[in-house]
Amino acid sequence: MITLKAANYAKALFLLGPKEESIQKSKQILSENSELVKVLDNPVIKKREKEAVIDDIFENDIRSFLKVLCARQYIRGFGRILEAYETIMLDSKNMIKAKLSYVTRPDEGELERIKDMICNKYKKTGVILELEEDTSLIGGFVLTVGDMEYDKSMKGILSELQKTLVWR
Amino acid sequence: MSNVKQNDIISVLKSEIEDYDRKMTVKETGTIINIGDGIAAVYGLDHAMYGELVEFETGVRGIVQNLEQKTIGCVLLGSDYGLTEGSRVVRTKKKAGVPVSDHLIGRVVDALGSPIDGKGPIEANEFFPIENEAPGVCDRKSVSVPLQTGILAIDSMFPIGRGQRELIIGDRQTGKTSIAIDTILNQRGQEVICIYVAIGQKASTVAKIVSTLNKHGAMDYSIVVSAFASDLAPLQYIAPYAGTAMAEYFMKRGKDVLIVYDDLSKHAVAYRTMSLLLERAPGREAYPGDVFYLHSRLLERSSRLDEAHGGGSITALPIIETLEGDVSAYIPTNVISITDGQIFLESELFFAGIRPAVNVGLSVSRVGGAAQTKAMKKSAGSLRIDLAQFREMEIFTQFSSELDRSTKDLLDHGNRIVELLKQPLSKPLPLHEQVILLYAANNRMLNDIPVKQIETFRNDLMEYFRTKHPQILEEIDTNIALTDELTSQIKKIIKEFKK
Repeated sequence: MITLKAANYAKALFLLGPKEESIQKSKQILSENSELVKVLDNPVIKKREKEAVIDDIFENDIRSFLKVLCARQYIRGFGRILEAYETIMLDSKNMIKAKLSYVTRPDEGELERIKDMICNKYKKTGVILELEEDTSLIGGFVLTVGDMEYDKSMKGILSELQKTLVWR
Repeated sequence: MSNVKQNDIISVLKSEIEDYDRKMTVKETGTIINIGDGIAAVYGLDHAMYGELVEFETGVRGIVQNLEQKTIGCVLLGSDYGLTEGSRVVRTKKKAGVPVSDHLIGRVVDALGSPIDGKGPIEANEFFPIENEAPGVCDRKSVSVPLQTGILAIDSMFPIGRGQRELIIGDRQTGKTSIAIDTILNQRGQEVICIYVAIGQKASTVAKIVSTLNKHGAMDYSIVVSAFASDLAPLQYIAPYAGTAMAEYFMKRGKDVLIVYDDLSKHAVAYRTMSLLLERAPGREAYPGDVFYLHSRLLERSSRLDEAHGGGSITALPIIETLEGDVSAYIPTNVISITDGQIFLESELFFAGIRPAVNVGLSVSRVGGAAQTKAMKKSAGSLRIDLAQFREMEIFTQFSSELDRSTKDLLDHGNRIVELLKQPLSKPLPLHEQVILLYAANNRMLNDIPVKQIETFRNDLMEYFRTKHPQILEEIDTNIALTDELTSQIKKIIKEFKK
């Protein structure tokens, strides 16, 4: 989940312009080594020592950014920062991310039509469509693009019907 | 009978389900990133509007209060149980509002308009937004019709007109609520709908008020809107706006409404709590910068509409509690400047047995004079000046033993007026009784009655009028003006009674 703080750091990271592989490598190291995150987040450990660890492990073009995160005690927010960073990157490429939850997986033709619809509606050149199977929807699908949610699931219809029936 | 009802319900449900249009629903959603103390910070909902109602995944609703760059601040209108970081929030694209209908009369409801008196659901077809624009200049008419409080001290010296906003201000335990309740009781048969808004009060206090209103048959034309002390600050914050929305429903139908806000000090405190939790900058006494606007936009909705807009009115009686009689504190000065006058109640007078404990010097009604009936105006005469002179002289002569005749007369007269203005609880006086008593006092016809016997004299005199000369009382009520012929008749009857 993106927070305002994470969004601001992501903007700084984008302006810093590190290589994509440096970012992905850092993400992998930090997600796989929870002990390392604990060490870098520990206020008792001296700044100098933390910086030495960063210099030893991470790529040159992302070191300074990680050192700032360490100094500001926000290394745990790196995941969130990357989430926001991805949005900024996609924006710069005039692309958008969307999520499709379904019960029965749509065929490729339907997926293409959904992508075209999103491109036209949001005036983008490309879509990264994340697919997820969700049987709790009973039937139909739910498409989430940014803040907007297009619900054509049986679950959504039943909940709307319930609201209509119990509305005073 | 029950079969018919069941069949009806089933057929209604069937038709509702059959007619249900299965379209795709498009929702704007956000995620909670922080929640606590009835406040939620939500990431997303980029298009949410200030004051919009949002729905959390547990079904609890909230109002958008802060719009920031990436997040919005919402106040919850219910329990935050089950809501955590990451919970979903959906826009409703509706402004917060309350259901309104004529069926509200006689009911006790919460700040969201839901019944809390156990008398079942309230039928309502309309929905009024709690925040609404005040009527414009062209829609309004000046205040000219009186709203009788039934309290002699107020109706004679600080008359209130329909559409006026008169503040009741004073320390704790000085009879502020009693004045408001007596005013509601006096509206019986006056075609006025009364709304009592309790803000941050104990449930036991509200229950007592409701039972008083019930006992005197005042619930037949009253609504009680209550946000108890145990309710969330946001509910206490919206309660007076919800009450005003209900009042507007009746005003737009050409009816006269009296609304009591008890009290706005607690309302300001609830708003301060909310604002501080929303991380708004605190100002004087830690209140936020817009605390003046909080009350001005509420009280500005009280008005009298012209005939083209139905001719209805909302008369507001906001109540403010002061600390140690300090009227120069932040909230009291704000509300004093917003309203069209104030009735200032003093602890000293209250404990001296002068009840209602109205301080004549500090109380004023800025527009009510135009609404006072001619009869009342004529009979009240110089009452206020006489009382002011009496108070001045009373202090001046406190230590002197020898007094000249004119000073003694002034003190005697003053003492009798003070005694006459004392009025027990829940005993509002009708207009004709007020006119006769004031006439008697101003024409020095009480000066030969011992001060301690004034109350008995007053009761006996009115009983005499009611039994022997009811036509005089009727004439005062119907004519409203006090003709010379009528005054001479009243004078004659009082003299006749004294014999």
